[in-house]
Amino acid sequence: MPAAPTFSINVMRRAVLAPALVLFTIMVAHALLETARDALFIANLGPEWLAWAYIAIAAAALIAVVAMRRWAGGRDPRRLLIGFLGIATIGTGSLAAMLAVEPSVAFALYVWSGVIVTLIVPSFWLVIDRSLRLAEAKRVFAAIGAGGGLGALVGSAMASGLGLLIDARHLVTMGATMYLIAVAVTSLLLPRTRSAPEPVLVLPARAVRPGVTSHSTRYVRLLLILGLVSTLAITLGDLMFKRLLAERLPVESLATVFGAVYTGFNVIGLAVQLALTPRLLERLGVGVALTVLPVIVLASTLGFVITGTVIAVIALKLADGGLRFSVYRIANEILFLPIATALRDARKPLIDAVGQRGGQALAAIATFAVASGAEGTWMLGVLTALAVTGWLVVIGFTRAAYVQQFRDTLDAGDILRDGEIPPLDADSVALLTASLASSDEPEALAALDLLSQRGDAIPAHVLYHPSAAVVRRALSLIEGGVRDDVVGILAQLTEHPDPQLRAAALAASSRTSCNTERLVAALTDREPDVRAAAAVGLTCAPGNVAADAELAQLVAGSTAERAAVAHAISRWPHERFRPLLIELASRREPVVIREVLRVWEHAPQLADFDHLLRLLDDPHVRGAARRVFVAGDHLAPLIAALDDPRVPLGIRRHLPRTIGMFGPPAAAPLVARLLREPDGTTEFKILRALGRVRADYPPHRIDTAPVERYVRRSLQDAARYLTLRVRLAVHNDASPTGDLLAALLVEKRLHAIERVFRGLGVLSPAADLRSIHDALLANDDPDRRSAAREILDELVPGELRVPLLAAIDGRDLAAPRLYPSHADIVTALLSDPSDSVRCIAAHHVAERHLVMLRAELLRLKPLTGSALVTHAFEQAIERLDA
Amino acid sequence: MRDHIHVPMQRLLTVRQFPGFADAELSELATLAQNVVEHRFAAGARVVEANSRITSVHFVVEGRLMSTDGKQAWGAREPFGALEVLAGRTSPVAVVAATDTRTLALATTDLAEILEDNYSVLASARRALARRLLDIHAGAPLASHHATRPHAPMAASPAHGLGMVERLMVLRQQMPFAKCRIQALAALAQAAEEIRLPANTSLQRIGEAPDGVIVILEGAARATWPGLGSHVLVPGQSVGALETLAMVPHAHAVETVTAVRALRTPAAAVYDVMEDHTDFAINVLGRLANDLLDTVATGITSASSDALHTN
Repeated sequence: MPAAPTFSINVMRRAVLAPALVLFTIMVAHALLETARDALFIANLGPEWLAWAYIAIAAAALIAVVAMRRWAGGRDPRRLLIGFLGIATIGTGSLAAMLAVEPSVAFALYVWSGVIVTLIVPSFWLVIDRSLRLAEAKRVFAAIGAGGGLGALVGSAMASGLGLLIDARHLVTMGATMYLIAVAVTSLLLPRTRSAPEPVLVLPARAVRPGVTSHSTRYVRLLLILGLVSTLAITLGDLMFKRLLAERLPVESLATVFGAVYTGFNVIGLAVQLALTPRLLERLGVGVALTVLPVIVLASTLGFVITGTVIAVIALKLADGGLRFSVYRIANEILFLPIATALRDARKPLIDAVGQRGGQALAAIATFAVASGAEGTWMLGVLTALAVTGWLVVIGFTRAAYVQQFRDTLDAGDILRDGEIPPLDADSVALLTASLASSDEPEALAALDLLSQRGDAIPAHVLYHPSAAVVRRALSLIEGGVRDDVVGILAQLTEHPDPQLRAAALAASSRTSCNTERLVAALTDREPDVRAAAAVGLTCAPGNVAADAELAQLVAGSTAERAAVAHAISRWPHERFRPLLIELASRREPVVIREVLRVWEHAPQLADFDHLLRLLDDPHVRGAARRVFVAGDHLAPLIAALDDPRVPLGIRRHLPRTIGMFGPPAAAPLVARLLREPDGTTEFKILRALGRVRADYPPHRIDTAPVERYVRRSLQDAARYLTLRVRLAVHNDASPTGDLLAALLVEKRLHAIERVFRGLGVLSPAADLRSIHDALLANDDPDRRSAAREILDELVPGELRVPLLAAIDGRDLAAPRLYPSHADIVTALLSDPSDSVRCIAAHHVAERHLVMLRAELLRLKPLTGSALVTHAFEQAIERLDA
Repeated sequence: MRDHIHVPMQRLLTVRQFPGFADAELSELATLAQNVVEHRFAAGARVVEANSRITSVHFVVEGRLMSTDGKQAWGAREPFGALEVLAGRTSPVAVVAATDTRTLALATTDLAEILEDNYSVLASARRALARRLLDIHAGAPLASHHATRPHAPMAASPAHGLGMVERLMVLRQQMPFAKCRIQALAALAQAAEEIRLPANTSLQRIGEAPDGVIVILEGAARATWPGLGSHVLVPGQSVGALETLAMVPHAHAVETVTAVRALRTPAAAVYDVMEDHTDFAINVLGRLANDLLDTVATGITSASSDALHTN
């Protein structure tokens, strides 16, 4: 049982604070530079040049990333980050110096700041991705990102304030200075990355499932498209916003206004990041968190397109500023985690560069194409709306592919469960026929078993096999009419020294022609198998007194003789044997009953339902009895038996699985019974039977409401057993029954969790909840656990998922006032639905001499039900009184 | 046997020929066949290092594996490593391919899942292990029984009979059920019945089908092996457990010497609980495997091949 994940202060410092501080300094530098470059660019060149700048950034970023992959491929990402920060310091400082000489360098500054941030930020996240696992990442990414948000806030506030006092080009110098500080902070604080990267996606040692590699390739492509489309939409919106500001504001106030606006956005972003993002990711999962920003952007863009009001564009920008880095970027970073480390290291910088800068270039081209006229801003709105719609569509695909990545991780460690007997194609038949001819007995027997699965005619030559066991098995598979090529061989086998062969041959040949003389002669054979075969075979000559006498003698004889009779009837099931079969089935002789069931399976019209039902209680013959129920189409009486309280519990508990064998028609009655069943074991078996039916026939619709209620109830059970276990442990009860109770409560919680998963599996049969359950509860692999949690995020609504994960992690969410005292806990255990819990609790009361609970023992002592429980309560009272 | 065991039908045909799987359901064997991987070892190649964890159970298809101390060997249709994996032990000695050898390997991590999902395979394995243990004990029954240490019986008042907790304690002390989950044992305990028998009453006869596990709580009984002697069973010892698990008739008789109070768990209940609680069944397999390995190691018999090679 995996322990609930916890973080020590040292781990927190290393995993969160240091990276957050590094990102803080980077974002301060970037915000200073961004504010300065926007002001300088618009003041010196005008907004119409922005599109060109985006295209230039895209081209330069692409060249830079390609060069970086060639130069730095495989290098430590931390060193790479420090290198980029150093280059940023030198480059930005140089441009600041040139701005004093030539204002048009603002274009180069714009491109430079865009390119450098394209290299620095992905490198930073690569370092973080390598040092964290998914479960940690989801909790700390928001906090790390908040460092970046705070840095952007501080940077833009500084720019806004200083913009009133100093020229914008001096802000560039300050940006360079901040990059230099970032170099120092990164070198000192950022933890070194793992030297041996561990891939999240573990490929199976057994065999790679088809499609796993293509899933990863497709996923990486989707991430690239997502980057492109999202940036396209955001940039179009940004261009729309900037056009409006440029139209409405004087040039000299642009730096201050941009600074103030960005400060406002960053405040919102920071607040969202700290207060909302972690909850959003936990409650809604990555997939839904990704959609929050585009949905708001789409709504505000449509508002602008329809009404033309400025407030709509401001709302768009507020959403962008407030959510892009705080929620969307964090969720987007998490999308990279399921990719194998090597693949991620190789592709992420490219995806980020091409996605971000390519998206901006596309936006620029689109702006050139449609937004140059008087209606340009409105056209930008239309384009933005279209792009955001595309963005949402791509998110849908990416979300499915993201879950598939985790599914592949789970599948990689899973067995292939859906074993099917391979089809008997021409090659297989040739193979099995060749094996039949093998002198090796096990090989020939195995081939016979496989051939008989399809009911194929057994080749005649197998009757010449040197092994008597093989010939016996082959003869047992010959049913009904006998082919001409077999008749001749059978005639020879009736003289075979092996009595079972003689009997089988006699039976098979008497089905083709009634050779009374031979059969009567065989009645005197010393072997019961042969005599039984002869007596049964003489059915072809009704009224044969000797045959009837022999049958009566055999039935009155030994178990082996009765089995021989039943076996003989199985070769020739006939209506006249119906009473005899019922008589044989009534005996408590599994060998005989098994033979009777073989007859009934092939001739279900001879079966007797009541006798069959009783046979379900016998594990030796239960499987065969179930096959007879199916062969005889006894679904309706079985359902009636499940509802009949007079049917003994030992039999009722085996009805759900039997009913489940009927497939889809069984689903509705099982669902209907699920919540009405008073016996917990039978109820669980109903759930298992439903699970099998749903797994075999997933398209078949069922009434989900009772199953959902069952899931909720099981979830409550899991929480209750957890609470009882935790509160019991507080009392440090180290008595023998205290230990027993503690262990049992753990088992009960795990069982309740299993019931939840089985119920969810009934609701979503294609989701393979079994793998998720096993990965969460029976696996020590943290990657598989993380993968299972992610899939759960997408599959199960928060109202169920949150308490379910709490139960799995062992987090007691119950109110502190519940079970305030040891006596309250034990009283709750004494009234538990589980017999074993109540028995042990009663014993515990006596063992600990809890006299104050004597009244509870009296009150809760059951008057009906399990005698063991009543006995336990009575014994406890007596011990207390003594 | 033939080549091309990557062909699904050939692989299933090959798996079916292993003695322990002759009576397993074909659809379940098909699942097993899907999850094994073909391995080829050149003569002399190391299959497992000494004292290392066994990562796969190898079902030998052709050739021969051998322990480096020469004491154990696994030929065609014998599985290597199953006992150690079930018992959670390492291989004490290195194992190499004595000749060019072909195996179908099932990853250790997959074995439990295969057994859990496929009850007929699990039941086949259970029968095979228990039968093997019985075979070994048959060679020296008295030594085996002397080796079985009686446990202290539960102090329970005969007047009241055993309650659930006492039954749990009694069952937990029995070798195959030790360390099993409480829920499964509670199910067994509920199905169990307390019996009282006078002296000179037969508990089991030679050739009789086993009908469950009887744990002696008070009194004594005598187990008699024809021609080999007898042994007195005391409180805490049980009869019928291995035969019930193996589903084979009794090879020795047991009769009460004094009046006996005992806890009898019907065979049907044992099988039912195993089917409903596969973790319990796998735990029982682990206990049987442990016992087999110990028995072979302590040299009660000269058994040298893997215990799953039986029937």
